[in-house]
Amino acid sequence: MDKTKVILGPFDVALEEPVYFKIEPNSDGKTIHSVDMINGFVHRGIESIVLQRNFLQNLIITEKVCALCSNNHPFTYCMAVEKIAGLSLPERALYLRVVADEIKRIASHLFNLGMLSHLIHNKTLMTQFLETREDFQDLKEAIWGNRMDLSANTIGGVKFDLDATLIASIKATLDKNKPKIEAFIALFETDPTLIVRIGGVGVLSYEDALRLGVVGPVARASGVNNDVRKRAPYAAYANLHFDVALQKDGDVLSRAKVRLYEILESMKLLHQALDSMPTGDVVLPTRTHILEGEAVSRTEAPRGELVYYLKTNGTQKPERMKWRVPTYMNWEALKVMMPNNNIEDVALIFNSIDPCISCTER
Amino acid sequence: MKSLHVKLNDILSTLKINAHFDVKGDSLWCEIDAKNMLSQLAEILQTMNARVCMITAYEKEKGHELVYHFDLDGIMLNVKLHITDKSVPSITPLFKSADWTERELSEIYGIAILNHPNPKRLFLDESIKESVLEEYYSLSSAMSGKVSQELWSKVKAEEGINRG
Repeated sequence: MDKTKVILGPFDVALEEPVYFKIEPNSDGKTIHSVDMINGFVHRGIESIVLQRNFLQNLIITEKVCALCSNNHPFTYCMAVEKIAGLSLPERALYLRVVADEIKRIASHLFNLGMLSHLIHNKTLMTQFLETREDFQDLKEAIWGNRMDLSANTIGGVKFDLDATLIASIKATLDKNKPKIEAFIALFETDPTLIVRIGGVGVLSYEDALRLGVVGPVARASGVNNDVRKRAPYAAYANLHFDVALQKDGDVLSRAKVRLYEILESMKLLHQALDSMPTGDVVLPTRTHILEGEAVSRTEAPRGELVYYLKTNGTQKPERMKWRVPTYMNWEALKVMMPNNNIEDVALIFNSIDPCISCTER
Repeated sequence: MKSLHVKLNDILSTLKINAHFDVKGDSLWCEIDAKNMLSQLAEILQTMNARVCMITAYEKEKGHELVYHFDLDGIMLNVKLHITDKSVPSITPLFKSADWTERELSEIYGIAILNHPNPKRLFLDESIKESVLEEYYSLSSAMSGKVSQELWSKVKAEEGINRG
């Protein structure tokens, strides 16, 4: 048999974002021997663009890096600016930041699980996931006026507040959807068809996960706990209680389960944040001049650790701004996950790292 | 967490590196001036299960400043290295997690990464020259206004053919 190379892409692999897979099959022609990925189709040079905008304008630019983690980018960026300026935020703002982030996480995880169901051709399950997500999308629209880019954060606090009606509607959405999430968990824990289909697919061992420095649900599905919310608490996370969802098999099923269990934890966090939120201002009253300095900040985005480095020189624009997104670390792990799996599972395994090309090619 | 602080301080003082924590106490900053020091420090950090989160580069005083951001159990260790000859030893053989970020350094700033196990381009096509971030391109030339002009003339020409 001749050595046929399988080429997938550059479009329509899992999320209709452009990436190019060069797959070399084993001699059976059905399984993967090795995989190489070519990217860079949508690289936008945003790290250079932010140097030409002032600190407030960059709030908008960072929010545009990617739609699903669009809350974490300005959030982490604000944390870096606030560190340099030495600002301490009003307590209420810290809790409101947690609320925005956790609602985003739930919606993001549900979207990924919906895509997983789509890729295994389970249309009913996909519909259920996306319908559940829709409730959270509606919630975002009600609170922030937008279903994707919330524009929740600003330097020195947040741009929104919650009144009793909104708090009640968040709680109602959580109460309505918690049983649904529990039913999904039961399905992923016990349904034999589902377990056979995605269990043992795309395995990443604990050792490989550590070696490659993967982050987020990909790391936690392999038993590596590097949840930034626990390891280096920020905003109000140090005051709130939650458990880190860990699995040990490191396959597509484990990554799905980590996301499902994390949704429950996010719900727990939301209830606590809403109940214990102090009263007061949501943003600092004055705009601060950003002095010369540098800072690193990080948060736990739905896909994993997001890191920002900011260097300022006393002007209104950054001297250097650099960030590293979760997918950036998880991508290389695909080269370990994919070999000896079926070629038809490429998209499934790819989707299981919750890839974000838009973030990676910032 | 506290024992890690002590351990990090020990290592840095043995290597005669000055370091300080930032205001929040979750990141440690230090500067080194020799490349062999970077390799030495990297070897020690590797035994402590550190992870490379990111490497930042920027231009400074006719050279480049590199900042290596290591995670150690929730503490961020930021190691600054000033280089003037546009080259630096690779730490990817020690840390697989540095693979991409080192390759990106070389494609954006044109810094040679010595002994990198996989020195391929990451995002930019091989035909684009290195260190593009150091130059400014206007949007029209970056998006190639020329191309749309050519396309338009082609469309016009084809219309001409079709209409006979």
